[in-house]
Amino acid sequence: MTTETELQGSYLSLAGSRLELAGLIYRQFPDCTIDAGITSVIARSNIAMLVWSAAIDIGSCLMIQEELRIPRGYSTDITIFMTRRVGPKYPEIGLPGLWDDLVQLHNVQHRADHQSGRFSASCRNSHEAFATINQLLVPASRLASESYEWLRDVGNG
Amino acid sequence: MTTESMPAFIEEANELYKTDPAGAVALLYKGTLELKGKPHRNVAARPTTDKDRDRLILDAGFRLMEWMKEDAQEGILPIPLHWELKIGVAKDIFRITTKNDNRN
Repeated sequence: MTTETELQGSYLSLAGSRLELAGLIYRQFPDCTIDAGITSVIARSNIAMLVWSAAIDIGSCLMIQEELRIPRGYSTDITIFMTRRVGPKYPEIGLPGLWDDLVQLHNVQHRADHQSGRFSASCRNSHEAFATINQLLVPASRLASESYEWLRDVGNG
Repeated sequence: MTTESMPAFIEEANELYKTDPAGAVALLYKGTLELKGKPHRNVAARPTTDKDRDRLILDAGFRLMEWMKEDAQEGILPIPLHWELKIGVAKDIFRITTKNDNRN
């Protein structure tokens, strides 16, 4: 029988792995922030998808910590839960731009062919979101900061 | 991530990956999709929380990430597909349908 702690651990492992992969893709294709070619578009889409999914994973960890049901279904569900259910207890979640920055990056995932400047900015802003949400988790259930620190430098050469 | 209780489809996919990476990813996707069930707009129709099932889905996702890291190190990118929306972006996995082609 899986315990909540074990489930949290699985979420964190997967989040860390997704972020590690996203960072690896960024390092393999550093020009994806400025290049309009198809490979760069695919790289941006992959990175956006992985980071957004990692955000959902870490958000799910927070929900387990708060003994909330984790929503099933569409990505808007997790946003609603984070802002309406988790947000009231943690004002940080409701700060302008915090979860929104992750949503912005999620939007890049679907329209990675759009201007790449938004991608870089969304990645950099997402760093702050990960750092903030991570701090809300109990110390034993946090992501290693190395897994998301690379986001801060995306697009800065 | 523990491997002591690795479910059959992950184990099978893990073995298949050595000879048929795309087939392995498809198998992992199929197994995960079966565990997840279809997403429902109607909240009441959605499956209830099942920690054991959720952990299996996360384990499958973790396995996929490990494979994809190997690919990324070789400069191979997975092709994002719109169907990931159909199973929900949360904990989604996506298959590398053109992986074998990329390697040729």
